[in-house]
Amino acid sequence: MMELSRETVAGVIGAVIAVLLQITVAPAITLFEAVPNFIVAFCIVRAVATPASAGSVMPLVLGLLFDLMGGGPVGGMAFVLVLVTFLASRLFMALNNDTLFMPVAIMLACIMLVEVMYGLIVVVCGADVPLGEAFLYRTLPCMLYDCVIGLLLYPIAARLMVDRPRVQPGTPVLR
Amino acid sequence: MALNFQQHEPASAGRLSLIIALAVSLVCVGLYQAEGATGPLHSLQSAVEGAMVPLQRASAPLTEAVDDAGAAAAEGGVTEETYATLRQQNEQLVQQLAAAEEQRLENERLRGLLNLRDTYEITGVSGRVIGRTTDAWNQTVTLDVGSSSGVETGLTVLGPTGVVGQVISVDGGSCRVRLLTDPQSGAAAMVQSSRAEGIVRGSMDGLLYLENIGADVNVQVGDVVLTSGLGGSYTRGLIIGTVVRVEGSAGSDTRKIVVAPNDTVSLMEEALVVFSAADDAADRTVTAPTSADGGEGASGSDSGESGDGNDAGSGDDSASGDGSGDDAGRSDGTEGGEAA
Repeated sequence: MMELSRETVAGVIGAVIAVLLQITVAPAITLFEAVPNFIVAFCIVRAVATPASAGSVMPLVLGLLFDLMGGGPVGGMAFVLVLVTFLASRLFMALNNDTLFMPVAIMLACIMLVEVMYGLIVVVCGADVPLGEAFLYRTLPCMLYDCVIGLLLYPIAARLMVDRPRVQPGTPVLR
Repeated sequence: MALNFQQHEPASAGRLSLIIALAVSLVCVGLYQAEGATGPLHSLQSAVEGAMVPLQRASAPLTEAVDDAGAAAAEGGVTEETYATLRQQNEQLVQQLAAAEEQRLENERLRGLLNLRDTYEITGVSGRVIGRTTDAWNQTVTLDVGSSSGVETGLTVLGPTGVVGQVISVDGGSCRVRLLTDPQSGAAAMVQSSRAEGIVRGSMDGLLYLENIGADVNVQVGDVVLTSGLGGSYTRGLIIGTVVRVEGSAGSDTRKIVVAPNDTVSLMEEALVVFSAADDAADRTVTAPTSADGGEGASGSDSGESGDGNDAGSGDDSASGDGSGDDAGRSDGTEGGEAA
């Protein structure tokens, strides 16, 4: 039977909130043509905050939901999210040096990678637009917007989603 | 630097789930690309879109709040003290004015729609914009009219002063409209004065470009661009916009013609789904809705410049239109009544 850890429960709740935000809030806070992507930000943040238990199921499900809600090729965002969240979690597990820099750097790089790869998929799948224009007018602004959201989400996710080891009373805790 | 490989789950299980997830998503992409617009994945996409409508409807106040916040930020130059005093003095009046203004704007927009409806003898159904796109790659809006009102995929959608897009999917009570400014949009078009035909396409930078126009055709700034109806994708003869910039000259292959859409889609709240229009719609001109602030009406009057003199049908006032009721047979009563 599946173990209901804090990470799993927080992950599911976070995923539901991300989807709701994408439907209700994202269209309202569009800047020019850049629509923020709460789903991408959440998946990457989760992959970095809980790299050991991130898995591929949630990125796949959320990616498919994003594809179904929007008008893009179904499976495109799912593919990119599965691949990049796996990459993010493995990178973080390999490079984590207990500083804030490493998770933030990996998170930002992966968010950018998601937007670039998704842009490529959309263009390859038939959007009749030049690659350069697609990058300039969609990928770049969206990637910046997502990075801001990722930076806002990460402290919350690190606080709420991570199972902390129980410590003896009186043990000093690094805050 | 020490590497910190930690294995919290069996590596083989993790890899297996990764491979399965990647395979599933790739299969989805392949199927989606291979199937037609009526395939199962496209249908599922439409169903999910329909399921999102109540949520999008619920978030409408949020959109208004964000717009209000933007307006408030624009007024940031006024000192707080002055602002508070003025607000106190005008409290009652402002409330009344706000209500009146809302009604006036709504009247204006609906009159614009009625004006077009009368001018082009359009039969159709009007709907409210209840949702906007959730991703950056598709410029779409959702209207609150669907197949129950007679809306079908492929129908042309008009804003208060011109064509704004085309219905791409329909649900029972809602439909999704791909806007003309979307890079994947393309409308067969013609220049009203020269009758030269081409294609108006959206672009990533948000502008409309008139393409595939004969190299020898002379296109001038101010020329009115209409739908040509070629290929049957858009109803013939409806105004799209006016030419605002021509880069390069006639005879040049690299000539770029920029068309300003007649309607500001970002501010659009109502739209008209067109079932049919008059056969000679292309020869009629549109009168601009009388607008105190002159926002959207200005471009509509451009069409008069090219006047071929055949604008008798347009009249000068939409309010006198008696054709608005002729769509009652196809539109549902509330929408038709609202517009009338």
